[in-house]
Amino acid sequence: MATDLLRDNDTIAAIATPCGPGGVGIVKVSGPLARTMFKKLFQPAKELANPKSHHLYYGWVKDPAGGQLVDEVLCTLMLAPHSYTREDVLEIQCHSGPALLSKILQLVLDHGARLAMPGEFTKRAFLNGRIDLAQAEAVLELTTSKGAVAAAAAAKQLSGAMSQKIAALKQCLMEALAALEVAIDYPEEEGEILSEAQVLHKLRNEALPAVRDLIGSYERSRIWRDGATVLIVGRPNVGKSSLLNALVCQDRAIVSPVPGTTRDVIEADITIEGMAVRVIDTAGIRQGPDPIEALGIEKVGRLAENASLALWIWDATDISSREEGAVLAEIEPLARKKAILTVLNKVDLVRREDMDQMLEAVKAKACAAAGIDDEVECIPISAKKGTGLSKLSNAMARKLLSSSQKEPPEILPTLRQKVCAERCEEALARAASNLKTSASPEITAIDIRDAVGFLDELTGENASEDLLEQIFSNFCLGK
Amino acid sequence: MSIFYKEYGVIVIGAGHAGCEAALAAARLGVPTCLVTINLDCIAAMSCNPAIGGLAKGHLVREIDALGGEMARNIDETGIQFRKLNTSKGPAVRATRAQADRLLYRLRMKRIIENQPDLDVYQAMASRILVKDGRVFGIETTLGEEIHGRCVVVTTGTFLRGLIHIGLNQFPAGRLGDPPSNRLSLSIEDLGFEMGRLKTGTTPRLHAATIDFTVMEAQEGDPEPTPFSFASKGVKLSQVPCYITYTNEKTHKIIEKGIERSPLFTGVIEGVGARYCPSIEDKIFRFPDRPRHQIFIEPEGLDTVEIYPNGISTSLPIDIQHEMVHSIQGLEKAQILRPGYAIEYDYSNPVQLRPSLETQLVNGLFFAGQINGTSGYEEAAAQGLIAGINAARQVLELEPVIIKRSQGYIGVMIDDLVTKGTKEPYRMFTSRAEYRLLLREDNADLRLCPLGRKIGLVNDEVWDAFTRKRDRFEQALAKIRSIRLRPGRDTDAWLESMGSSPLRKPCTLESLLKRPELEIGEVLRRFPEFDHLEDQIVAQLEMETKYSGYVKRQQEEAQLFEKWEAMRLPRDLDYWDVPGLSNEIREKLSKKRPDSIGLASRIPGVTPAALTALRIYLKKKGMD
Repeated sequence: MATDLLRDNDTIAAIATPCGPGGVGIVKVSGPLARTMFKKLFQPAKELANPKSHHLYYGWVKDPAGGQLVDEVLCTLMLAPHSYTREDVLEIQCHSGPALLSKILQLVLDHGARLAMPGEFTKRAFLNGRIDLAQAEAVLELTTSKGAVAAAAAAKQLSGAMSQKIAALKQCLMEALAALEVAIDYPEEEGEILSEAQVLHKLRNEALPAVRDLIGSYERSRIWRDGATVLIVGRPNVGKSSLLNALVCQDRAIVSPVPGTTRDVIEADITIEGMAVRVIDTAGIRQGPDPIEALGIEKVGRLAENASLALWIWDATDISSREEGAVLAEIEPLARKKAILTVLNKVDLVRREDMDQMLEAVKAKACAAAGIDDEVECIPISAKKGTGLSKLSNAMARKLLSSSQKEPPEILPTLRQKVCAERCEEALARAASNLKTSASPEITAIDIRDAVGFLDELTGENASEDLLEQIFSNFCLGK
Repeated sequence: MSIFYKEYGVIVIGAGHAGCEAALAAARLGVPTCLVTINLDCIAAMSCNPAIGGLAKGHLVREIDALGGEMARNIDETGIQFRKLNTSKGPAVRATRAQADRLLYRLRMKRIIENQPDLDVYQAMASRILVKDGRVFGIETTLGEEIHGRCVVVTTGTFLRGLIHIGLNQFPAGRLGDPPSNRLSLSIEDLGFEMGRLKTGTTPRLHAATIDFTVMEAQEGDPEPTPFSFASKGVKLSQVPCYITYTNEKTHKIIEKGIERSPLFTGVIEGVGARYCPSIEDKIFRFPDRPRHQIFIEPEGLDTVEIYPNGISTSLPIDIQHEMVHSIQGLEKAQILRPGYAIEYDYSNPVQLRPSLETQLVNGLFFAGQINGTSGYEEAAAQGLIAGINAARQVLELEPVIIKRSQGYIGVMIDDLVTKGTKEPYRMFTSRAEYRLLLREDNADLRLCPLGRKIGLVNDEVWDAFTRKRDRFEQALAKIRSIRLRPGRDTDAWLESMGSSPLRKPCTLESLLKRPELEIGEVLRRFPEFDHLEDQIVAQLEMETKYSGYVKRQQEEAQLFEKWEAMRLPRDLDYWDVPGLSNEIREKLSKKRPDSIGLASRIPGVTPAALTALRIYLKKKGMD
């Protein structure tokens, strides 16, 4: 129903900074849940009993489910009525990047917020008496024009393949719902109506797999949507910065023979076979790091959680086994997924006839260190001379795509669409469980209606009238 | 031309199910009322099937009763078979249905009307609505007599330019045997109303003595009939069975043969029929794979041989009707007493109404029943009641009563009609109610009796009985919440006997009742404090325990819904002055003039952005 769209006492959230690269990203939350979210999702650097309003707190966003830290952030809580919307507002300033911002937004949504509609923060500000008349006109402009643009955008987002899948899913749900409704409103009709067992079968074998596939395609298309993150790791002075420079063909890092020169994480965005790839050169990793470097190492650890691939760089002039443990510790999550490519750098400085043997040796050492049974690929390059780079790019692409889809996927759901699909799945799971315990059909019907409602929200249509249409086109009813 | 010597507060045109409720309600509120009918012998006639109630319709009847209407009491006194439907399902979708003694039903209603103080009945045919300066002031009859009144309620059923079809024969009629009302329809159109044409139909009636009931399956009523009215003590007349038979391949062949002379299939009928009330020829053509269709053989009364074969509504030629009937098992020798027929009639698009059922075009003029595009006695009666109440309240200078979607099926129906309109005869279904779990037969009194009392249609006796029942429910609920059960051999054996599992730790009876496998009636039998608790209260307790999670959610949604209903829109709002609305939406809103933001949100085409624009405008003007 349209009144659902009138909700203004719930908690809304949005990414408040523009899409694309930028230093800082902001996720903004407004509504009654803002305060609990601050407590649940934010881990302050210093013990904090009662957060004060309008104070900037340093700390981390953590996922309460797994407990892992998502990003280093600055968090502000602005309590009602002294906020833009006159509601409790939470602002999370984090590092920019679509993947990271979506992850934080997702956490907020998982904890009870819903995605804000265009102009909704401003709308609340006005309706709660926060802004004046002149601004009100501007809000109106914003809501109406952006609403139209957003609606057009939502329609555009629905690729042909996706709308077909959703239409099929919805048809399946409408059939299930019609069967339940007919049994309710026409208790004396004979035959032809699906039994509850058949409805359950339909939900389990058609609807649930379809909606799960839709949710899964969000994960599968992650690389195409958010881009991939590739870490360059290795002992100090093996040429990590040189490789990054070579890959982006621009001088982003200071290349120096002194170990540990590259202190901070340096990153750059490149494109490999149409995929956006963020390459991150890790801090130099040494044994017995000093306090400043410890921070850098910790960062690498966190980066590895979210990265897709590690390039493990070896120095052709010195392939002796040293410090593998330290390197591996930092990329452990990637090693577990075998998302590692070894790279033998500085091959211009060694004899060509020793190469094969060297490659084999590096592979063996890397495998042994990482505890990987099958072969790890090793690509010989010279970052300095720029040789072997295209071969490396190919290998990276192969590796990145092996865990994802080879082609840009047909179905590329947005976060908003995925959230709708997830809610749809929850409702269907409830319906299935109700059918299993033989709950009365009007109860199950509520869940299926909810599921249809979330699909409608996904596609932006409203089809409550379709139900009677469905009933009377499929069933011969009436005395 | 003459002017009738008496002047009324409310004039009701038509004494069908809508008209009777409208006239009784207005008169009971103390407003001098005149009920005008074409035929005094046809008050509350059941032109189609002799039954009241069923899914969603039974809900409506209970709501009419809770508000102080007459339909429930009338069927309780004249019903000859009562059945509870969906008893194995949850309380929200259980419903009552009753077969009526058709003659007794209308005689009883006629008696009630004749004895109602402040109510006059008058046999006359209305031909014109009298309007001056946008306000109604009476009606004119075909005898050239003017009857003056402050408000007029039009409940003309199928009579407006009624046209009956039997095969390719057609003749003007309001119902088989009664004249149509042609001039009134033109008068309404002249006032500027957008009219449309609908179609409905009925079955041939059969002679009981020519039917072989022995080859049919009998369908008995409930051994303990449940009356509709919360005030009724029980059912009065003796209860009789219905029977079930089926069409067959031969029947279908005969129908196919007659199709070339069917007014429906040759395009003679222009009116739109209801998909949920198809004629037998419709069913056979739309669902050719069905080998048979069910027919319920329903008695029309205790003292008549007339039988209503429910399921073979038809407008096929009369020879085909005979042949078709004779092809059906048990009806081989059945004699048709009256032919089946289709009837086309005029209706006025109900989007031209306010939620009070007053027309937007003419102040003081109300429409109810089939003129608004609905079908069914119960739908008509519910609208009649609301129109009658609101016409009387207008005379008494009181605010109109509007039932919200969250309060009752009556609210759902009227809201659907006035916001969306209808292109086919509108019938109530439980699936139309978004708060279905809250809108039950068992709690219709809890939902609406206080409102009925406030309006002034619920008398002291009924009100006292209601408050006592409400207390019993609350006490029973308190008990369920306070009784604690402990694990133990005795308890475990008891739970096991009901197919449930032992308790792991002590719990309240309330939480035990949440177990899906337990049936509340069976559980409560163990506790003497719940002896003699009526079914309705048990159903309410079941909702409060077993389904409490879903009930609570619907209650929250209903609250949110009501918040928007409460956000008023001034009737004289100039939508062309509201920035940010598209011209299309401005036109829609200017035409509809919704009372609230909530109502505006349900007008097709009104977007959330437009609602925001409206709210901002109201805020700006200080009108919120």
